[in-house]
Amino acid sequence: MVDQRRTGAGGGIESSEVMQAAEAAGEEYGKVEGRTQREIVWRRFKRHRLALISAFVLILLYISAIGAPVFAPYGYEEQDFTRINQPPSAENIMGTDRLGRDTFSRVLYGGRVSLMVGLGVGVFSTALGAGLGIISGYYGRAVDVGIMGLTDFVLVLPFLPVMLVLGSIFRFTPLTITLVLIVLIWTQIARLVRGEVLSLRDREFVQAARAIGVSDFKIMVRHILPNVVGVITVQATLTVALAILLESALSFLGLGIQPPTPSWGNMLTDARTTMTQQWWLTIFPGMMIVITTLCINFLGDGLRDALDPKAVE
Amino acid sequence: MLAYIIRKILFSIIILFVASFVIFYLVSLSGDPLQELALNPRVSQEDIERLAATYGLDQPVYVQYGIWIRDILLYGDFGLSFKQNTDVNSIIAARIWPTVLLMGSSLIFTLAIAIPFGIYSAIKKYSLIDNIGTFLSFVGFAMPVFFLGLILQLVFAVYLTEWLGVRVFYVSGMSSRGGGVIDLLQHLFLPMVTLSVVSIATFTRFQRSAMLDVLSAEYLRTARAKGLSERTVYLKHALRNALIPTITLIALSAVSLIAGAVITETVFSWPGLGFLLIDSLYKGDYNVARALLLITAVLTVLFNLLADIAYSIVDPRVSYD
Repeated sequence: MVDQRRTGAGGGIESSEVMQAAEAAGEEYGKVEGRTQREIVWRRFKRHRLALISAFVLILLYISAIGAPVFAPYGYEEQDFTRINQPPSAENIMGTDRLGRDTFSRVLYGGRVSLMVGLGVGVFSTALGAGLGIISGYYGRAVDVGIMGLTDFVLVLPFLPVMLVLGSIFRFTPLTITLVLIVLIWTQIARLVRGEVLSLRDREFVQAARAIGVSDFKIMVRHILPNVVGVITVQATLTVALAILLESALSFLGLGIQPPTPSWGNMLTDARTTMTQQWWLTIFPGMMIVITTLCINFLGDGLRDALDPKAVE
Repeated sequence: MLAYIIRKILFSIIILFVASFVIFYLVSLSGDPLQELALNPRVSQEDIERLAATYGLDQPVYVQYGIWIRDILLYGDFGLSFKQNTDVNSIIAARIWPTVLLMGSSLIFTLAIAIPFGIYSAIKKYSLIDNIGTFLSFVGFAMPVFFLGLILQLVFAVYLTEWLGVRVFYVSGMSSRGGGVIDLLQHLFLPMVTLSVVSIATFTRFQRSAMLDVLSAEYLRTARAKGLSERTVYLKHALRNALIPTITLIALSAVSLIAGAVITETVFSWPGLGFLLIDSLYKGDYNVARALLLITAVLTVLFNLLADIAYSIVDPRVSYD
C-alpha cells in the first residue's frame, strides 16, 4: 500500500512535472509563433556580444559629442598659458597642448565634427544610393541605363585626387566636406540595392500589388524597400566608418577641416611636431578614431548576421 | 567577351578625358600662380605679362587645357613648373623610384604575410589563432594609416632608440648621407609596414574565405580519397585554386594602395610622388600637381579596368552584356 501510495504520489509528481514542462513548452511555443520580424532580428543581434557592446559605446560617443558644450570642462579654443604642454592629470585628464588648450575638451568637440560628418554621410549617401538603386532596378530599361551609367562614372572617378583638389580650393567646413563625401560615396550602395531589386521586381507579391492597381511609388516604398532594408542598413554602417576615416585622413593632410575648428584628423597634424615630447596629443585623438571605426565595423558585422534572412536560429 | 572589354576600355578613356579636364580646371581655380610675383615691387607689369605668355596663362582655360593635354598625349610633356626652374617631367622622374620601391616592397610584404596566414586560418577555422587573426584584421581595418604611422614612429624610432641607445629605424627621408643598402632598409621598414597593415587585413580575410570555398569543393574529397597526404592536398590542390581570387584582388587593392602611399609618404617624408603631390598642392606648384593628379587618375581607372577584366576572366558567372 505504502509502496503503491508512494508510487502513486511519485507518479503524481511526475505527471505534474510533465504538465509543467508541457505548459512551459506551450508558453515557449506560443512565443516562438508570435515573434515579430523585429524581435527575431533583436534576438540574433543580442547574441553578438561585440556588436552589442559596440552599439553601446557608439551611443555613448554620440551623446558625448552632441553634448560636448555641456560635458567639456573647457572651450576648444580656451587657452591657459599657465598650463601649457601638461601631461594628463586630474585637472586635464588628457593633458594640454602648446597653447594650454585642454585636449579632452578638444577631443569632445573634434568628435562632434568627425562623428557628425560620419553620420551625415552615412544617412544621406545611403538614402541617395538606395533611392537611385531602387528606381533603377524597378523601372529598368532607359532609366536603369542612365542611372547605372552615372554610377559607373562616379565609381571610377579617381577619388583621392578629386578630394585633394577640392580640399585645396574650397577650405572644407564640416558641412561642405559632408556634401562632397555624399556625392562621391553613394555609388556602392546604389549598385548593391539595384541588384537586389532586380531579383525582387518580378516576384509574385510585387505582381499582385501591381495587379490591384497600387502605384509604382507605393510599390517601391511599401513592398520593395522592406525587402532590401537589411542590405541598406549594413552598408550604411560601413559608410559611416569610411566617411570618418576619409574625413580624418583629409584633415590630417591639412586639406580637410581647418583649424581652429578641431577634428580628430587635424588634431593629429597639430600633434606631429611635438609628438616625441607630448605623446598624449597624438594618442588620444588617434585612439578615438580607431575605437569609433572599430565599433562601427563590429556593429555592421552584428547587423549583417542579425538581418540575414537565410540565417537559421 | 572581347566586345565587353573594348566597351570597358572606351568608357574608361571617356572618363579619363572628363577627369583630366576637371582636374585641370579645378587646379586653375585654386589660385593664380603669378599672384606672388605681382606683389613683388621689383617685378614689372611687363615681366608678369611676359611670364603669363610663356606659361600660356593669358589664354582662356579651355585653350590652356587643349595645349596641356596635346603636349602630354603627343610628346609626353607635362609642362613647366611654376616654382622650380625646371620642367615637370624631370621633377617627377626623380620621385618615381622611391614610390615604386615603397609600394612594391609593401605589396611583397603584404602577400608574404597574408597568404600563409589566410590559408592557415581557413584550415584551422575558429581556432585560437584564427580568432585572433579575425580580431586583428578588424583593428587593421579601423586603423587610419596616418595614426598607425605616427604610433610606429613613436614606438620604434623614438622609444626603441632611447632604450637601445642605437638608432635602428628612421622616421623620415629615404637615406642618410653616404648610406648603403642597410641604411635604405632602416628607412624603408616603418613606412612599408605602415602602408601594408590595411592591405594585410584585407588580403588575409580574402585569402581565408577563398581557401574556405575551395576546401569544401568535391575535388578535394577526391584528392583525399585517392590517398594523397594532407600536405599534398592543401599545397597542390587547394592552394592553387585559392590563389586565383587573390591575384584579382591585387589589381583592385592597387587603388587603395595609391591613396595609402600618399598619406604614408607624407607622414614619413618619403621623397616619392605622394609626398610631392601634397607638397605641390600646398606650394601652389600647379603644373606638378596637375601632372600627379592626372597620373593618379590614370592609374586608378587603369587598375579598376584591370580588376574588372581579371574578374570576368576568373569568374565565368560575370555577364558581359
